[in-house]
Amino acid sequence: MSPRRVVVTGLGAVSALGLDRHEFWDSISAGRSGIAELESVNPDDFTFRNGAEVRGYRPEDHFDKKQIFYLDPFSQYALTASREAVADAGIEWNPKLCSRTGIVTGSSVGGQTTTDESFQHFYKEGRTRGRPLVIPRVMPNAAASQISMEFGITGPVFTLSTACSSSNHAIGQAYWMVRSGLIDCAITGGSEAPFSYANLKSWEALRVVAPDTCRPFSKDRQGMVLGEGGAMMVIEDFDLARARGATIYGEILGFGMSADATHLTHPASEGAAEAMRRALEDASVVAENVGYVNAHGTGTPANDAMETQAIRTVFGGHADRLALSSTKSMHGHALGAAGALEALATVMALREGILPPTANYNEPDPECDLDVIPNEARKADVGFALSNSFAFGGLNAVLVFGKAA
Amino acid sequence: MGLIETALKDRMHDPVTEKVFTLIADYADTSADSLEMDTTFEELGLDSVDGLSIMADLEDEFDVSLPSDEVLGMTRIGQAVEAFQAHVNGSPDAESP
Repeated sequence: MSPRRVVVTGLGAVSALGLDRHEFWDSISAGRSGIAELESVNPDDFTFRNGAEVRGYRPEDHFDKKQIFYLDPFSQYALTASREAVADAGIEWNPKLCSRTGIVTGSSVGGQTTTDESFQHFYKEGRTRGRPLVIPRVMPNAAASQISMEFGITGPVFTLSTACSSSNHAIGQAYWMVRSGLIDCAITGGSEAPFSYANLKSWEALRVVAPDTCRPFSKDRQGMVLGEGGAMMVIEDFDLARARGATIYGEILGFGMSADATHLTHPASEGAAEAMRRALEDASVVAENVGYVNAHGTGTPANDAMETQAIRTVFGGHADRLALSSTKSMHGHALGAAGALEALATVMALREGILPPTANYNEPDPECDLDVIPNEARKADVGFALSNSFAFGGLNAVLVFGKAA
Repeated sequence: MGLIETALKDRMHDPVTEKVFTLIADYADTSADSLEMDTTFEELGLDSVDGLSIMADLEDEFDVSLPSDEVLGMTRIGQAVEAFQAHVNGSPDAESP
């Protein structure tokens, strides 16, 4: 049996760029950044003042009181994005389809907002009695389980946690399961809600967060800016999608993974390059046909130079003919949700023929000497694109997308 | 004054009863006036984890720790009232039927 084609038929997003996929793409395609002064904590307490927080989101607009008890914000973002993606896909569930559908989500830190509140409860308020909902809210698979209950999905449901590559690893596994025929359909993506005092203080200690804003590939870049949110896609067997007359946003063509095996926090270009090579090989796409790369592009001095080198290694002379951009300059680095937000940006870029820019870009850096689409989106008809994620821990995951044919 | 009004008035005079009723009403998103001693958690749409959450809040409120078998065996509001009255008032009589 030849491998199936796997297409994207539904999109959903909650992010600093807005509460749905339309607001997300409107901002991304206009080069408008969602990075602003922190509201969830007092910015005076930190060496950085900005974040890409979800604004204007009220849990009670999406869930009843009892549901909210069970939902850490990271699960709320995942569930809200899933509802949107499923509605967008126009899927009508039945028991057979539910059993042939999987859910794979990514999250780096799961319900850390709840963990943080729980620790305050004990260590700050001096209480000695816990709460029974802390464990089920905190577990990183809570989001996937909530989605399964929402739609009655009974196929393979699980969660991957590989720091900043979590969603790409998740989407990759879901893709492979549909491609192999193990399942027919999947809801996949990731979510993260990292804005608590203690978590932000720990990021501050790593000295990788920019004091100003996120300026990927720009010579004056000073680091990443944390983001939050959730993004989900409905992916399915092409024949199934066609038979039910679904809108096809694009196609997933391949997935590649690698591990640096060198350092827990310092990235290595050979590991990143290997993941891109394996993804292209998996997709049977030749490097010269790739027109756009949605970069990992965190905006740290180390990552962006490393990624540039890795792209040169993989693409050779073609590196000077392809375009890349980091949409983290707009939605921030949403950690376990990053790959999912970027997958949406990449799929939409291919579909609309608009390559999103790298926002906040000031000056060229000889160490990042590729076409990074500075500040303004570009019209371009591109057939194939990569979306890179390179995580702390040296874990790399790259997806290959194709324009809907 | 009818029997129901008297019962309502009495229960609100007892701080333990009042706290148990208001807290459970809050969880169930309903008014304390609509609850009776015989109302079950199930009737209010509250499941076992809701029950555990409510008990944890009440244990904090009254600064007592109930044994697990007592907490896990609760199905009615009245059982919670009696259990906390017994521990708060320290009266063994309150535990007798």
